[in-house]
Amino acid sequence: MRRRDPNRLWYWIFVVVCIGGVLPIFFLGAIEPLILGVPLWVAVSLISTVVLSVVTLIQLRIGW
Amino acid sequence: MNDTYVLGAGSIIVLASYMAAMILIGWIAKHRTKGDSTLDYFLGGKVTGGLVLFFTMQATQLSGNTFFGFTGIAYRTGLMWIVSICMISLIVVTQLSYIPRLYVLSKLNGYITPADFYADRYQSNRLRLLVTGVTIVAMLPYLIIQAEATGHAFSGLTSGQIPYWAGVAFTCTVMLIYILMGGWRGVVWTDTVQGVLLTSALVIVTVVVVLTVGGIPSIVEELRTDNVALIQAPESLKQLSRSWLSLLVISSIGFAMYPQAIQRVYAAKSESALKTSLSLMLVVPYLIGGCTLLLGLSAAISHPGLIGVDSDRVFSLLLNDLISNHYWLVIFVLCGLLAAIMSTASSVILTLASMFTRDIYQTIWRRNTRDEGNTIAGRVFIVILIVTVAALSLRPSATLWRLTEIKVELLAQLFPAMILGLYWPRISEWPAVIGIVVGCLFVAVSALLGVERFWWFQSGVYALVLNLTIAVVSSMIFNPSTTLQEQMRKRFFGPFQTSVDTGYRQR
Repeated sequence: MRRRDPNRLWYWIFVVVCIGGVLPIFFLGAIEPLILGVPLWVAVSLISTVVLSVVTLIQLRIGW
Repeated sequence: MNDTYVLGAGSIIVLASYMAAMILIGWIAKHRTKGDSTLDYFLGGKVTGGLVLFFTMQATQLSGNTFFGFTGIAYRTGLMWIVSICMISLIVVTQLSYIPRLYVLSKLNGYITPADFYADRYQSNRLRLLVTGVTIVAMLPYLIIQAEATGHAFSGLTSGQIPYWAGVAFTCTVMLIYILMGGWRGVVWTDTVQGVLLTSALVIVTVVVVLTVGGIPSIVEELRTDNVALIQAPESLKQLSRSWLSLLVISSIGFAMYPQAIQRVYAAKSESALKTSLSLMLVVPYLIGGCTLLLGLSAAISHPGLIGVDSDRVFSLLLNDLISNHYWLVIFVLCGLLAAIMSTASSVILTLASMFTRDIYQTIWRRNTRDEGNTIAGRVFIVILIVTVAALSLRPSATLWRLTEIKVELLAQLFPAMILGLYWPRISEWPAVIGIVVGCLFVAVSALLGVERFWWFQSGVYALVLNLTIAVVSSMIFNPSTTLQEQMRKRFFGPFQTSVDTGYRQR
């Protein structure tokens, strides 16, 4: 019978998102402007982590 | 935790009720357990559902260190601690690299302990003992610290009316009772209650503390005026690497290799249950990272100027601030703290006892013993382990904290052999053994020399790269026999090929 194995494409997307989740913090390292009361770099970091969680969820529900 | 809380008899009644509830759950679990095999006792017959699996994974991940250590780091590093959300999320990502295959193999081959996979895949009891040894060395100090934290929690909660030693003894006795009675079910059912308790405690106390200091925008504004360093991003690539990338790599891998986490994969009823629990686990990083970050920043405003070990006390200081206006909330939070400590400790105790029984006792002394004998041996190991841990925690030692710091780096050294064993037929016993030994020695020597970082990364990252390189290169040079490779390919890779039917059915 066919076993479902982790989809390699999604796995590489993980890596890209992880890197994408880290580097913006360096390049957008300013405290201004404030977004919803927090500095821009924190907002970027949070958004990239949310993207990581969504991609992981898709991997869990569809890729596996 | 310091002994400064001014709480009365009410706290003792709440504590006693909480402990009684844990024993009651253990007793119910005992009567719900049908068999008495090692599989039933240590893994609940591998029929744990998704929701319970989630709560036990979550409760095991959150320990006393989450409340004190994480809040202390957030206090010292400021908004940089937002990295914790990404770090904890990456644990699930790392787990996804091995869980799908490991789960299938565990069902097909009846694995109970993490070392079962290594021993089976590499046909090596040498590797079984090595993996078990590394795990015990990494986890035992962690367990002792959990026991110490319960002593401090009791002493603090009752303003010293219950002394430190009595707190340790009482908690260890309660854990002993419910683990002995209920085994796996006792642990995961208490984890479920404890998971709900500790999560709600963490969230509620964070909301109250943040509102007390004026909300998130107010926190940022105050820090911008008084301590701008706490809201700045990394200034250079080197700082980014040291404080961010390095932590992401080593922690996500090390935490994913927790032995109790691997056993929870084995215990899942189905792939669907695993997917449910891991999906829910994706919410946890935002709770843990977000709450500890906000608590640390709030403390930076209300209690500025603490450095070093003192900064790890900020959670206690925040609770002290709340006592006058939120007395019962503080008691609730301290019960949540106790739940975090006990859930982690009981899970680690059961896992280590299963490893002593299966990987040491059964492998070295009793190869052909009957299963009932192993379960009895497992219970004896639990008693010995808890008594030993309680005794060692009666004299708190600062050096144990240092040992805990290298726990994650040591556990991460087991990852290359796991991932290569699952995906690369060519790797055999010796490359895996040498890789783990060299990686662990590198971590140990760095720790002994007091070197936490070289250049841009933590020493554990270099150890991991060295470990992986040695395993891969030596596998390329020393090829296992064709027959062995063929056997391995059929047993461990066949289930994932479309043309081979191994009898496993996906649920």
